[in-house]
Amino acid sequence: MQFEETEKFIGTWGNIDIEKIDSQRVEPVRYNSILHVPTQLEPPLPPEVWERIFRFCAVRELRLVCRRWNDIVAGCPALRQKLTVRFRSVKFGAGYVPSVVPPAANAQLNHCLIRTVDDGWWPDFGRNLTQLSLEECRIAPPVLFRMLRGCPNLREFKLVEVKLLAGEVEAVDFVVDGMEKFSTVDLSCSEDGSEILDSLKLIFPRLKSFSMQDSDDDIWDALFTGRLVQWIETIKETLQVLEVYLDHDLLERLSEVELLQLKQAEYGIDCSSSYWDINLWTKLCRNQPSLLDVNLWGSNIDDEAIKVLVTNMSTLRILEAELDSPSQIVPSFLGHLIAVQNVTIGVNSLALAFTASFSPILTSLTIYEAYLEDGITFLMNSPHLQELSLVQCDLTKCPIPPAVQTFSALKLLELSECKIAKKVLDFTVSCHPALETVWFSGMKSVRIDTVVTLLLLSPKLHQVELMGCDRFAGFTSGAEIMRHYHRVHGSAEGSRGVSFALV
Amino acid sequence: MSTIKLETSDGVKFTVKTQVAKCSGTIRTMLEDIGINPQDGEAIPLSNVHSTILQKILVWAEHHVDDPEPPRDDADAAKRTDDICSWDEDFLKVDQRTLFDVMLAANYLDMKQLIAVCCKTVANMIKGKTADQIRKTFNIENDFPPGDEDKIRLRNQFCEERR
Repeated sequence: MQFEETEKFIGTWGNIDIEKIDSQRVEPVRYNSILHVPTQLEPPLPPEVWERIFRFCAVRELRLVCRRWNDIVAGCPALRQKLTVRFRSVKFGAGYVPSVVPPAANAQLNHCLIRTVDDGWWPDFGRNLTQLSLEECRIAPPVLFRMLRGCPNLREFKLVEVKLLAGEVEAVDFVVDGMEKFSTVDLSCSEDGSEILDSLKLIFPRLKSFSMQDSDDDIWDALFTGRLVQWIETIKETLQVLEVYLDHDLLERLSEVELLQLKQAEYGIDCSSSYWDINLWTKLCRNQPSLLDVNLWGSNIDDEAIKVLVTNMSTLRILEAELDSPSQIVPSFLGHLIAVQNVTIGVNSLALAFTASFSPILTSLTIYEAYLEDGITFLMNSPHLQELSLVQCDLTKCPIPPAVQTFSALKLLELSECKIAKKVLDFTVSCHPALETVWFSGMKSVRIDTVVTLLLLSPKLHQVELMGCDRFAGFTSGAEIMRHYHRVHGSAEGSRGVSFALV
Repeated sequence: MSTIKLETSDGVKFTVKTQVAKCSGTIRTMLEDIGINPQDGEAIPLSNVHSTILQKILVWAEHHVDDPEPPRDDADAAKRTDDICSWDEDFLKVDQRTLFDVMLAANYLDMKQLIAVCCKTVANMIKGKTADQIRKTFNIENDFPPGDEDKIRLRNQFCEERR
């Protein structure tokens, strides 16, 4: 049954590039630079200087120049790092040996059925690899481990939509000590996945980054969760980045792990699900004292969950979250920040209402896909904000603010694909004398007089980007805009140190 | 103002401000770590550098002596070759032999910034050219045995390259 599935699987993708190349059977081209005497014509630079030059260049062409340059590229890990070999729809079966094995540091296997890897060619190829990615492949665990055994220098390993076929998991007797980053997306297993986790735990003892997204529900039983948390505990000395979806079991088990040394976390949560437990969430947040950067994704993430996060993590500096609510969203957590300076929130086109002031520590705020009825007044009156980005926000119902404070620390303003009335936009840009950088992207309401107002009222302005703003008929360069500005205000010619980018 | 003497491979002695000489990591190490005392009046021998090249390198060092240290992990600068300042561009408008001699000397003297700008200059001479055009630019002989170039070309088809 499994064999039939296999044949069908291969048939689905048909012929592929590597098979065409395979038919030509190419022997390796390798020279020994120590024995090879360079011609006298060749520029007399040592290999390490050539390596530095080649880092700026496309190395594939360089390999064709001469034997020495070919050897320099093949012998330099940093140059090999620029090369990726891609196997598409290849059946790795008994006797399969690719004729072409370039000295690349990265390999991607797409739509491959990996029944075995040859002990001859794979270790030769694998020892050069630092990154290996399997996408939409099928492989049995013993073969996966044999593959990893041949890649002692691997630093990054990714499994995307990989199906782990049935196969007995043998005891592993090797480690990939330098492996730093392991990630899976949509992983599925034919059998118990917890044994595989146990083996991977032994093979990757010093992970810095671990990510497991959207795995098949079938593998997420209590045993699997338990083994996963055991693995996380084993590597907590080195683990700095963790990305997982927190169902009840994982939230409970992970909240019991004390003092993770994480710097960055991406947690999937659902605050309206039956398993959601704010007490466990609070415990988890308190047990992670070193986190600097958190991204929350998932469903129904509410203000309360974020408030718990920002008030319990004293080191947290950067927060990104997608909020959701049956009615309008009130991000009251913005008034409770104790260390977070940089916040990005997306609300999926819902109404976002501000009711209380922001914590003074907040200096950078990005809002995605929000309906901001009176938000602009609030944002204009936030004296500590230095960077404000509004992306795909609807501000059409925003009135001109009735009263605006005289002090503004805003240095960077980004408006990207926002809907806003021109008079409100012009008023908005006129309120920030400290502005240094302004980016407008896909903004239909931006006109030349908006930019002139900016130039007039923002003396520190030094960078203006206008991307896809189509109302600049006749103005195709920064010099033309500056000439117009000087003509309107009767001032002397000059760039005033402002650089423009018009695309 | 403190000065030191440097002696090149062809026996020419240069009296140089110590601060300028310290643009070279090699000389800095000699003075600070090994304990060579410039007050003794003896010249530091630079046996791998000819006087014509050292003279040129000292012009560069004099111009850049007050430059701040570049950031160590500037990934953008590590990829770009279009950020050479106009003074350096003019400085490196020399024949290839001189350019490579400056690079060899800068490498020996451990002058990271000068090496970086030279590498970018040579990279700009390589970029966008075919292998054949590169060979002509640098007068390099195609020394592949018959057929090997085709084999590498075939391997290249099997690779994608990160920009």
